Amino acid sequence: MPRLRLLLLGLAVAFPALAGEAGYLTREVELKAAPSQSAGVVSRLAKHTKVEVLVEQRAWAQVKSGETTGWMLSFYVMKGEPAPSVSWGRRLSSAWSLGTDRKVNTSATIGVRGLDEEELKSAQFNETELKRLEGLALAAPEGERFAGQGSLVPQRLEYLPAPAAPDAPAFQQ
Amino acid sequence: MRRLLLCFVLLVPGLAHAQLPGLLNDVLRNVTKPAAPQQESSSAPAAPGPGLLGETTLEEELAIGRQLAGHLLGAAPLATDEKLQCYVNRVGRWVASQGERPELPWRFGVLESEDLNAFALPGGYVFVTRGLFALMRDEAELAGVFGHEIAHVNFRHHLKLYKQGQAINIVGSLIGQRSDQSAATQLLLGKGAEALTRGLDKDAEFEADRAGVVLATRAGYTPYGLPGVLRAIGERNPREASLALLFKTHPLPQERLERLGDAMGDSLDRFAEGKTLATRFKRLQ
Repeated sequence: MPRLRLLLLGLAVAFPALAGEAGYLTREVELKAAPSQSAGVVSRLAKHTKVEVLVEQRAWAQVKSGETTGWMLSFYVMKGEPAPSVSWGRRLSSAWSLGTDRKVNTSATIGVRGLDEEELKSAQFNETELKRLEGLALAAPEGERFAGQGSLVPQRLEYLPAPAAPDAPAFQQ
Repeated sequence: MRRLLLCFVLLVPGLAHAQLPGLLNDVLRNVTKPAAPQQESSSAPAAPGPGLLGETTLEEELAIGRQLAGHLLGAAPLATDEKLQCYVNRVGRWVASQGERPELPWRFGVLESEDLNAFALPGGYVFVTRGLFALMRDEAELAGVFGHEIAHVNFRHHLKLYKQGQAINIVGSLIGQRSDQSAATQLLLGKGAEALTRGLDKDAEFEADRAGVVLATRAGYTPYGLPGVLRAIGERNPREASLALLFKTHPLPQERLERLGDAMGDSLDRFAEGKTLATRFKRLQ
């Protein structure tokens, strides 16, 4: 029985029930023929295009726009409608679950202290916990050793320049 | 007139340093002399006021960070899982080594709080809440979040904010005839960890997003860790109490993803196969 449950869980992750989920693109994207950077481009979709999400596999989502279907990086499709940034009060709220494999912890928080403004303002200095934190500090070579254990290979790249300001029409109400 | 002057400084903080007349500068120097021990909180180290008219020294930066970290830990202690704390320090230390200030004594901690948030403090103190950690799927996502926070420290975003606030607050203290050092220190950093309730400007957050992605990528991770966490936050109900402080102090995740996507374009595609290390990722107990 546990094996069956595991099998079903695996199916749920691989084939999440997503039909009809609507979202929009947070940037212009190239739809690919397969979930791979090297796959051929089937179409180019503009920022804020509405799409239907068919399947999501980790970093990749298969989406449909009109008659066109293709794969894109999942981080650039968001549920609902584009957020009008001129109106911060009008925030998106929806309970869409895109079938990701995230474990969302929604457990009750009884007994757990929060971090709201009042609690931060009234906080007392905690020397004991601070010493505990400072005792955790590592030297750089320990980080390098840990990186090596994970086969992390340092890469060379420059910081990204700031993009041009967002197009005004996209944010007008 | 005094009220008018304060209003002017509040409205044009960037001009405050240049516009204050010489006599006032002399007073400010006295106010920001190294602190005497604070009376009301004997266990807390007094943070020396940073030189208003010059660069903050490393010693001052570390003292400010330590003061705020101690108070933050008073609001939420570290999670008790020692292996988890060691793990996040290994990841964070490696990502920090990819930036401009590898020599800082970097410390990373998971806070025992179900809120969704992360904090960077001057001097290299970086925190992520248990609630945000629980949203993460792999080590690349943790590296992306740490990259964002490390960038705030490297670019001295908070110090710049505090220095602006210092000019404003000290003018305010003079108006109120309170020019002793403990009052000035409190005015600089606020009560407890109050400084953490003030957001940076949006451009500083966007800059930290861009730099965070780059730091994680330099460390060998996929660039998509931070975007993945932002998207997960965006999928939460924004009215959740656990998101209140994050959304007060940061642009909405949708807006951050749009700006980040515009900046990344396809320039990081060649690093897409970077590591996620989902199997090594230490999940919460």
